[in-house]
Amino acid sequence: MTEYKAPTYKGKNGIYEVVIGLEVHCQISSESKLFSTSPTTFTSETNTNVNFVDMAMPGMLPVLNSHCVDMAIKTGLGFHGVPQEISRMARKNYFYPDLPQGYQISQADEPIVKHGHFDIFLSEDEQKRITIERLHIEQDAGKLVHDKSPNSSYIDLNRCGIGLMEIVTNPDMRSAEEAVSFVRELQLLLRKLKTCDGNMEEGSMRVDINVSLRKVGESTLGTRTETKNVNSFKFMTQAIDYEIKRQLKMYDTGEEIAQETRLFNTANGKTKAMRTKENADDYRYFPDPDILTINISSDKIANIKKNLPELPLDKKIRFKKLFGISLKEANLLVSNEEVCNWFEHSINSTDKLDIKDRAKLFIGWLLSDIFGWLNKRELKLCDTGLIPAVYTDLMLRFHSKDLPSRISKTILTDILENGGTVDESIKRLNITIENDDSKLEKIIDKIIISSPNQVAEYKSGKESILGWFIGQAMKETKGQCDPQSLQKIFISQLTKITNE
Amino acid sequence: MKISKLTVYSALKLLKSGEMTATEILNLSLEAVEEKKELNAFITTTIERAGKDAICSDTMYKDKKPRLLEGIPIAHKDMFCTKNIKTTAGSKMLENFVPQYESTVSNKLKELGTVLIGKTNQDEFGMGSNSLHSFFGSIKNPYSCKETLSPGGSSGGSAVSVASGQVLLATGTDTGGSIRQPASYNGIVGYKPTYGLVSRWGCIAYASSLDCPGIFGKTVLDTAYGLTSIAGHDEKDGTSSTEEAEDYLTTLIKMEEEQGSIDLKGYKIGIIKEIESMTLSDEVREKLSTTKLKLEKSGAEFIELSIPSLKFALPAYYTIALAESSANLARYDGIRYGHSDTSGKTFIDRMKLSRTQGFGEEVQRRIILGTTVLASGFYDAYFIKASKVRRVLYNEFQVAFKKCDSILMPTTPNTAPVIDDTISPLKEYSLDLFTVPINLIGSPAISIPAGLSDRGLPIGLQLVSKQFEDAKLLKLAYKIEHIIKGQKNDGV
Repeated sequence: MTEYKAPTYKGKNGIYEVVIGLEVHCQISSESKLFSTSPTTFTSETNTNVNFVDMAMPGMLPVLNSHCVDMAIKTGLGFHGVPQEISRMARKNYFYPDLPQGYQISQADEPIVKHGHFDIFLSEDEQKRITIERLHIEQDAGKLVHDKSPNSSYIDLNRCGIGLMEIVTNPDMRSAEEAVSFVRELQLLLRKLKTCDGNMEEGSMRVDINVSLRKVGESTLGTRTETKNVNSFKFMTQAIDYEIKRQLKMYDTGEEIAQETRLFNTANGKTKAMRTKENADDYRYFPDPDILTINISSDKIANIKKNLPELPLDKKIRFKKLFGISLKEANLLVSNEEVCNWFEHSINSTDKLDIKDRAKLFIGWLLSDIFGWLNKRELKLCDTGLIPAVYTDLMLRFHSKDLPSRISKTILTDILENGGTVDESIKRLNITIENDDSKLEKIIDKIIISSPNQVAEYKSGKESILGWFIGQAMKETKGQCDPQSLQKIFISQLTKITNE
Repeated sequence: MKISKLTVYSALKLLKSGEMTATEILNLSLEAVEEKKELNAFITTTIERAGKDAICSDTMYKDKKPRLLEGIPIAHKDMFCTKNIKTTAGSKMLENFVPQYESTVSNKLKELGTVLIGKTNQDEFGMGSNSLHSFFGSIKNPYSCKETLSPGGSSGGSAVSVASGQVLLATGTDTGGSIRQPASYNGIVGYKPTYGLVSRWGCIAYASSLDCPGIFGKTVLDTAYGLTSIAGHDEKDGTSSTEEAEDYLTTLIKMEEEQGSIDLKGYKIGIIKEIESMTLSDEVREKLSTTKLKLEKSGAEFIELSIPSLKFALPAYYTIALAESSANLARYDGIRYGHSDTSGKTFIDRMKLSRTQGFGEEVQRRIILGTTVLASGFYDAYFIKASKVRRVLYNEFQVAFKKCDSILMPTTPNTAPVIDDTISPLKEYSLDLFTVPINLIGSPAISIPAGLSDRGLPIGLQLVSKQFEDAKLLKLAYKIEHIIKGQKNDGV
């Protein structure tokens, strides 16, 4: 097992490490927007999810969507944060055409959730705690469309006003890998809690990455840059790697690194300066007078906490321990809730075999044969006719050698396609199972008698001839028996002859 | 018959008895509107629609199912968005803005049978105390003789439309006195409800934590009709109170009908001692003390109160109001609606041009001031400090309200000032000395006419109560109104 080691970077003046903090914007799963009753559907036609409030018409007022507040609390509890009994919305003032109010309703120094932490896996058995500073809620902006005309830009306000949760970490990550792991784990958590769909390609999750370098062993932070709106794991890695290289070069040449906001260019994998701190907007935050202080009772928080499901990270750790499976297997299982539930259902529907052996057996076929079959067809487990109890039955009958491997796989494919039980499938496929040892012995004896040359070869010590014998038996039984059982019987019969 | 002789109460009587029809009352109103055109009280008149509404009202009376204010001619301040009727907020920015929605306040009044005569002139976006800052020209106080007198502001047009007998009721908004101060200068009653009692939805925002839609009427009873119509929870306004609106009307109508003798036995009325040392004209000072004597004679007990932070209210108010307004007015960027100059190369240029042309001088001044007090480096020294003053002031008033039923204080430090070159922004702001503290604490307040000065100009006094004691406040105001009989109900 390889132990994880955070990467370091050799510069002219010493060895550096990278320090990364993230701000993850997550669209809250909600039918309607944060302060208006407009729908939030991603696929709607341009400017159709818009009402007078979203357009900031004169006299329109925002009304806080309490469902979004609940989702934020749930998410906060999911990363062991502290939901605040009193928090406040604030106006963040700036002018931009996709921001009709001329200010974004966000939260300043009184966010809805403070603190929290979250573990990521560095290797099979190593975890690292990433601490979280806060979660706050705010409105999303609209979108500018620049490619409709060469000399005009257009505004789409569909996204304008959708609720976002911004999760801000402390600068705890030391590699692109850790940063990606964090966002992956977070995505899993949000999906499990159903507080955000986590679809990065649709922009439901966007990451701002703060990157700085410092010499290994130093405790003060270097000057950081913030790369905005990165929306895939691949781009995250590219953006971080680019920033590391760029900043390292600047340290080498003695250039001063500016604290600035940068944009990631998906076409060339580079980041580009957008604005420096000196030119940074003064957002003039102040409490939004249209929205009353958000008061959340401790009872309510306790109630949401009580109803939290098992969190993905806890589940991974439990699976690894209980089933003795690898991190990779645990990741695969836990990353898909449907499969995970299906699997747990299946493995728990019997108590035969030791739990670890059972898990190994069940997961093996699930991750290779079933996933392979599904992926080829772009189907989900629920689209097939295979129910967990039938899978359990099949696995146990395979394990006890009632069903030979090849037949079991044929049956599995048949049930995936047509549904039903193992026995129904056997009937459907017109399979006769030759697993009666005495019957097999008769067939084997027949083969041994009619093959004196091969027996002689075996006697002379050529054990590889065993394969030929098994092949003959398979031919005779039309493949409907288990090669391992055949091998056992052949060896015992041939040994008898040899000893005679 | 002249409409100036009528009140809402008396008009409803005539309408119910069939002595007059809504169409006849409307015609009286329209005659007055025509006659008083030079006062410039209206930005838009809605004569055609009013005619139809009056006919509808007459049918309702004929069918014996009149609504609360069936057939009453009303005017709305141009801050209230009215569906398919131009709503400008007194600004060039919204010169041609026609809302596709109806504000909660105007909708409620419409649903209760009022007949809308028009939208009244005002200081641009509610920013002003003399109705000088309207894109549609200044408004004249009907008490003006040789010299032009200020009608007060910002709801100057609404106040003038009632005082000069053009309508019987008018809506206004009161952010720092914009109802009470013009009511005082025009010799009528102005009611500012408890913050949160009346929905702000569809009312163009000036300073959201202070803005209060309210009512102008000739009498306390008339404003009670108005308040009853517009009060109540609105789920479209997140700051709207969920407390049930009280019955503001029944007690008052009963007293009006009984015409019994009225006294103030058992009432404790507070007087703030700090006001003594504040800027206050002699005529107002004198009116306050003579009124106090009258009320004492009627059995009221006066309690001296101390509000040490009162003197900080004005700067705190202007800091908070302008900060909020700087953000509230950010939406007027010329992109989706409103005045737009498209000659700029970039969208920032376009916004700059549109805003520079669309906003008047006073609005621009207030946006700049409001932006400054929020700017990094100034925020703590100005906005935070002002917010603390607001909290302290609130606490001091709550202590005071424990000792009395209501507080009596001047509405304004003076009578309507003459409009001349000496009007400066600071001078204008100082007119709000006694009205702004009440917006900061969210209390209800009513300005009632206390009589005329030696020069024949109206003086108003205001009564202030604890939040959500609007019904109690109106009842006391009704009694005081009848005791001091400061102003007859026959207009100017």
